Amino acid sequence: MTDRNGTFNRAGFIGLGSALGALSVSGGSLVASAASAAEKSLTDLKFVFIVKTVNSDYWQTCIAGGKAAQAQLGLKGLQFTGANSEANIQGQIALVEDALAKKPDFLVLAPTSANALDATIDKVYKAGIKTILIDSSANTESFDAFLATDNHAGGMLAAKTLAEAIKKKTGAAAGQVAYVTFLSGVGSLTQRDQGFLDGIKAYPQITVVGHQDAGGDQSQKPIGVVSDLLTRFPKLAGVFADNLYTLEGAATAFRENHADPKKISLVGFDPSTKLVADLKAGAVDGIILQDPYQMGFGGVMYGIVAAAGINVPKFLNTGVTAATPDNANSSLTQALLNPMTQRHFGFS
Amino acid sequence: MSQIVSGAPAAQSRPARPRLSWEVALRLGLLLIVIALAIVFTLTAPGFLSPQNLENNERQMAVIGILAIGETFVIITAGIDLSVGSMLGFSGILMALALSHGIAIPLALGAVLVIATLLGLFNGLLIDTAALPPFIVTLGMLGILRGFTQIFGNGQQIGFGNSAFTDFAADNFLGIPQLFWMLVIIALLAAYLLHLTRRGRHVFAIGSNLEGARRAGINVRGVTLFVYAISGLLAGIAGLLLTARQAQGDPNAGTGYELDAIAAAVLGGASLFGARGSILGTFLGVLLVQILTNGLNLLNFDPQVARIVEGALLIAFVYMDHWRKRRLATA
Repeated sequence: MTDRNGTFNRAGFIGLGSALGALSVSGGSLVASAASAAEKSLTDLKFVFIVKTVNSDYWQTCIAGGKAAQAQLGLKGLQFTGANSEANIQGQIALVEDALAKKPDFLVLAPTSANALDATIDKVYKAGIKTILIDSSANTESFDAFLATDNHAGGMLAAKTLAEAIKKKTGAAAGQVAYVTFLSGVGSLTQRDQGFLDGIKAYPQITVVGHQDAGGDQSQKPIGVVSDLLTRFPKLAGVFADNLYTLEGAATAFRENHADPKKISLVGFDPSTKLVADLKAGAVDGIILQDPYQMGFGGVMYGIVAAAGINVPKFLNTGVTAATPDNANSSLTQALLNPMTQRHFGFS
Repeated sequence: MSQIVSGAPAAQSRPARPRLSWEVALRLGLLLIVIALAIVFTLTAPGFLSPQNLENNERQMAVIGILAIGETFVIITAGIDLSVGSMLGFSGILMALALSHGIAIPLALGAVLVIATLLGLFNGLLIDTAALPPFIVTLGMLGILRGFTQIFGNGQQIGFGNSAFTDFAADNFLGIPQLFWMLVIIALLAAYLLHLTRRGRHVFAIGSNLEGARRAGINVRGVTLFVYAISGLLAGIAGLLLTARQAQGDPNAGTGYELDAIAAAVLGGASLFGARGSILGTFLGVLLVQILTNGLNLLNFDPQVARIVEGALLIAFVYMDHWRKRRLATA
């Protein structure tokens, strides 16, 4: 996903969103010059929005973004849905097949698997349904646009944030660090880990001494494996956790092991209410924030534009931001942390 | 299997001598493996014997240990309870919701445990009265409870600002984590119930020969309801403890834990064909998996190695068991 940074930047994208918003207010009908949709008014556009699972804050935020775009433009969203778990590939394939039968104008999809969904995505695309992928890629060219976090860049940002936290506490960006992955073999997590390892190379005095795998468990095992890292490497200066559950597990492990927050730093991906409280209290030094709201919002906006027959940029990096104790109350951090309340209209 | 037991219906509630001694030998073997592992890790793994690491291990094994004890009761009746992981998640979400709405801890705790017990009873009722296979009933319940857990949790983690509840999981009593005390107390009570009471003997009798037990006048329904209710209650307790430890309710908590619990019970000598198993064995099974995972982590092994070794041990133990059974059958 090296090409994700290209074509279209965040500011430009927001400009596009604003333009569309203005369009809906003034006219209520879609771009007249677009031949394929000339007869169709904006409010008649139908779409299906499928995330990996509805059972998580992250995806709920993503859906909220999609719904905000829908409400703002008065579209007919047929369905916002997802499988019962991120591991349920067959469940998501069935949802996409169902969506195909409903003949929507466009589909917004966060593919659960980079390979298993390919054939289904091809079918949707060939049926003339505009296909907007969000969050995770698929090994197919059958899509109109792809909006996602650049996970490698996110991992690099985590490395920088961790190194700076270590420097702030110990006076030098030096010492042993370790990282913990939620589940080996997941593309986005592998990219984050690789980004972290690449990013940490900029700090020659920091050495990565260990890594652990929480085996995909969301509650107990992350605590256990981080505890084991703390036991194994008593001089550890920092830990990187590559998703919400490993970051929460790491924070709990730090507490249970009486790790001194003045000596050891913790940085990881994705926020929760509890982690934000930990951040403000200094128990967590950095949370890498993605923008699932923007993925949902932008996914629908891109879908509209594509359905109007206008070529949309194929890749959009929705960006990563590091929340730290210092910037926890800034307006950007707040908007990313509280997308439901802070961004009623989708634009921060 | 069925030939062996049906040949000796009178001996069901009291296993024959050779079987007992082989079981003792197997438990002893398990204990020796645990001790040997502990010695190896003490010598090789930095920090293995540190007080903090012992504490970590004790905390880490409490939840699976409590689940596995409930599972042991069920497995001895030749049943299985696949719903314990979901029951754990369900109880945890209910507790988090109750606390976040300001309900007092004792009331919330009592209500959640009553609900978990009733749901366990319901499992037992379907299995006994409707004569449905335990695998199917509890597999159905696995899905149903997880679904409700997600709906109640609205797909999100639920925080609650109740430090008295979370402190329980973080604090020690006499230098030992309270989570581990809970496991020890539950194990002792369960061992008494299972091995020293008439009800406990009936649990074994049902697993040995259901029809025989019925004809011998054992209240099969009562015992079936009893074991599934115990399993439900213990999964409920495990859910409360995990919620306290995580300081939030997580709608995905406990996913897949039923398999860890079953594996631990089987490692500890419980037979999926029924009539065999012990609380001490299950405790040792949980301890073995925990020490193994912890030690290999401390030795910086690839995280996947622990899973491979656990799987291999499980198969090896069950193989030894079957080898013994075949020898008995041909003798």
